Amino acid sequence: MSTRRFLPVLTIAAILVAPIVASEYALTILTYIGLSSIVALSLVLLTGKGGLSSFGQAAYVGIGAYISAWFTLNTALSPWQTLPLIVVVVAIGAWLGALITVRLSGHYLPLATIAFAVAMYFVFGGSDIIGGMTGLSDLPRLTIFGYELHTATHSYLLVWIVLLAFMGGVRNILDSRVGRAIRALRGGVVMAESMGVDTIKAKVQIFVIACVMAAITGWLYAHFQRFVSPAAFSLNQGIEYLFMAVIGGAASIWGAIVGAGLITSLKQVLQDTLPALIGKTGNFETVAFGVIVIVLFHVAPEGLVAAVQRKLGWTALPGRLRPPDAALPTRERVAPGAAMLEVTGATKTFGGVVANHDIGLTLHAGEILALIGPNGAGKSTFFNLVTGVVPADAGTFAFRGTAVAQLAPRTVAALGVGRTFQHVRLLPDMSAIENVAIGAHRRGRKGLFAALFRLDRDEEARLFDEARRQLERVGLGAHLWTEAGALALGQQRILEIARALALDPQVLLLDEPAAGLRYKEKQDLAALLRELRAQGIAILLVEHDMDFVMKLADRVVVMEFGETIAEGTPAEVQADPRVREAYLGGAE
Amino acid sequence: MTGQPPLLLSCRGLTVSYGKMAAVRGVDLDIRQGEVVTIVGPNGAGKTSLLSALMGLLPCTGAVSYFGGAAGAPPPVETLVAQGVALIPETRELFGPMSVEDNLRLGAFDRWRRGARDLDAALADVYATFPRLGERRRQEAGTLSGGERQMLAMGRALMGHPRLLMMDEPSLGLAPLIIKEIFRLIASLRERNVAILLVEQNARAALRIADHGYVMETGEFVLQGPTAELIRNDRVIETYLGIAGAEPPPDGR
Amino acid sequence: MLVLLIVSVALHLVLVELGLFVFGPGGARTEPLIGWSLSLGGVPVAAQSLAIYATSVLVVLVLYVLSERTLYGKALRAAAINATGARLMGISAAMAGRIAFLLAAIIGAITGVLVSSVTMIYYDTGFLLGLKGFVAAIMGGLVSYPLAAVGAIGLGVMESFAAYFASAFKEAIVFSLIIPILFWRSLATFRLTDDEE
Repeated sequence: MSTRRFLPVLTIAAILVAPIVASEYALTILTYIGLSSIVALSLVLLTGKGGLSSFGQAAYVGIGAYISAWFTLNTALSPWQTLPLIVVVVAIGAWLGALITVRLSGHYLPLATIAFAVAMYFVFGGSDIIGGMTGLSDLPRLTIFGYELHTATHSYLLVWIVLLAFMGGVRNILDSRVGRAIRALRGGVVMAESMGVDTIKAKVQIFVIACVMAAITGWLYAHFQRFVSPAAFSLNQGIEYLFMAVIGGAASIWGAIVGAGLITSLKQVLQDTLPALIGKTGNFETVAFGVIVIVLFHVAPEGLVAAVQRKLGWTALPGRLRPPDAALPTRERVAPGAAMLEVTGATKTFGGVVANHDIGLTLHAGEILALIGPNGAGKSTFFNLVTGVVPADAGTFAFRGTAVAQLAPRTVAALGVGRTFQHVRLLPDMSAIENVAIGAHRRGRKGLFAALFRLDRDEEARLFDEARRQLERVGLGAHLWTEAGALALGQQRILEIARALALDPQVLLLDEPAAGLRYKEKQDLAALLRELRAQGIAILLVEHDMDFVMKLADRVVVMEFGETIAEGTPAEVQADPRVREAYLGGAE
Repeated sequence: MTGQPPLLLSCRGLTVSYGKMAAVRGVDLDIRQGEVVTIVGPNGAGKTSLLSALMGLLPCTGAVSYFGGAAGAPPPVETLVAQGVALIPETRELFGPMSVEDNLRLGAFDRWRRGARDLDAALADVYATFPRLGERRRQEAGTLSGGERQMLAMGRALMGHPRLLMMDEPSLGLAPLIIKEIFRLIASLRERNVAILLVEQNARAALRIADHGYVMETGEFVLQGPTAELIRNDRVIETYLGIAGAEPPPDGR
Repeated sequence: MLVLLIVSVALHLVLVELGLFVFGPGGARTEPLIGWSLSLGGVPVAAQSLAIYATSVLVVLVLYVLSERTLYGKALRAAAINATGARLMGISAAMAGRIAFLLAAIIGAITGVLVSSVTMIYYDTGFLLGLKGFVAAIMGGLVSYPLAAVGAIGLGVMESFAAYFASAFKEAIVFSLIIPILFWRSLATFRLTDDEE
């Protein structure tokens, strides 16, 4: 077990010691691997963690390379002086580009990146001031304090130290509040936004970071190779970078090195052997890559690193919790009976169907209100209206007396409303405690900068302590570090409630929390909800399980065909002939 | 046993699992020619999973025999359709951007592919049964109202001249008047020699038109028998409204 | 979803490189299928160009008729709209996919034959052509043959103007313009067709 913890240290040591034993040829190859690894790492962040596929990273490498090349050749600037220039220009450019591209949905985003990559290739090739198709050569080497880096060892060490620094940076970012927001993107925009995460901002952040990383790689490349031309920054190269990230395992930081290493070495081997085998000269290794990628996707769809980890039986290691120095700020307690949520006239039509017609209800602090009705009654639609997932055609929604005009999942979260989902939406590869910490997103402040330089440790300790408290409160204290995907469904549903509680909510909206639970699990859930009610939280739940609802709810609202047909205590509703009609059959 | 109409569908020990969770546990079911069989039960009982498995859409364990054939795992959907089994799922699965008439014509696609050329006559028949569809034949299916969608789904299934028709909650989201109409139509299908397996939440209407009924709860059949008996059974009512005082089922389910 | 995209890109690379292997890196240009040319209002028009226009119109018409008027065509459309619904009708969604690929490949091949006398063909010419064609298809919302044709013409006109005013950058301009088009299209395709409860 302890070998696992030492593996990163051993690898880093091996990397730094390599120049002593490796030949110059090997060091050169390793330098190229290092450069590619940085770009692959940027894709791990962008695609693997954030779910945004990009074929355009090679274009950004090119932008960085060309800016530095031109300025070092035509002005008095040294390479170190062009570096900040590159970072600023690319950061601004990527930020602007991101604002457009992150709003693209589904397959439009990769297409846009392909278009961008092709466009940039032709810009590089068509501009005579940067040498057109022949490119620029005789670029100066990098110097450190006057000493020129001219050996293979120098370049190797520089590139790999930069790579290791980036790996540390990416790891720091991912292991923070901002990182959880980024990883939440994979759980779906609705889930992330309902926890208060600004998904657009998160996407823009990783886009800019990834592009800057690629541009810095271009800078390194230009002054290592001392020659730039469009061919190295083509769409094909962009495709290759994406392959590297995916082969290693798009969600694994070390996977970037594995993927880059594998493809680069394979390229070398194939370039040497294939022409002899086939009897023709040319670059045919791409065929081999294509075939390998296709095969790999059948054998190890999550990438090589994940496949090896699974073979070795390595699951996530438990983390360590630091006792916090202070507690997170909490919302004020509300007096029981205060009206927390008031809906009037909620109406929604889909196509020809009126899903909700003039629905109204009031939810009070310290009460459990159940919304029931036969299938097709409109309960889910109403739930979606109240949680801001679907815009209402008409109606007013007031929280604590203040009417909200535009309900969106993030505004709902900001108002102190926590929610769960009908089909559990957790991040299965993340630990339970980290999933719950996502719920506390809005209660933290530390951003990207703090995450990068580990200035957020105090706040993280507080957030994790809060997550631990909520997990213990719902009875999952023994599973803090278990991967959410490994828990049973009943436990996952309760985990979602813990996540909602991490918001420090005054209102809880639960969507079929008892669905798929066994009898004992339902009893535990009911006990938990009663306790939350006693603490003054207002709970609205949509449910089908009559047994569960009737024994738990204070009040029940019954819907049918998009309208409310009855409202009252469980006993009143059960005795209501209209309710019986609705459930048992409405045909005379 | 002689004199009974032939078995169109017979399953034993059907089990459908989602990971570790079993939605349907060891269910036995028989449907004979000319019968209307209904499965009623509250939401979450596993009725939809059962139908999907019987239609070859979901993997399952157990033995199913169709039209007296060998028992085994359900064959793929396309094979069952060719044999004359049709399913109208809860979600209807209509082709929204296509017209009513196109949807209906596609219902007969399999027959047409095998050489049937009576599509126009079949269409006329469906329009006679569902006049409202005839009025809207050029309209996009996605713009129809709930009741019309259900009619279209039924009409589309009928275009395939099925021998066994399975329907998942035909009354879903429909107004009482339309439900009456739909159930009247279902009852009339019996005259066309179409056996029907009807899954419903609306127990009263379903039990009224069916011959044989099964009551499903958390994946199992808890009651079954001729519908005339079931319709008077208090247990059916309890299953739906969770009357306080009902005994909790034994732990470990 | 990403998997499908990457696998198709991998396949693209394999096919292109095989093309290089079989055809070599050099370019080629064939004799036109129809040699003569006319003069329309003083502008010389090659018969080959007319053949290309005529074929395009013919292909669009044939595809349109197939998908709107024949049951097979409707079945293909239905499989794309709703795979489960199609299966319930006995339409194999997998088969529909294969047929669609076959049709697309045939149309692509015909295009190649027609265009081979108009411009120099290299082993990778198809990629840029195909990409522009894909964008044109997106302008038709990926559902309308006539709209895609209009989109393609628009794209071609843009490219010609770009070639005239800034020929070194014509591809760069065309591909840069694709991005706002994609953006506009992604806004327009939000459709709610669910049967909401």
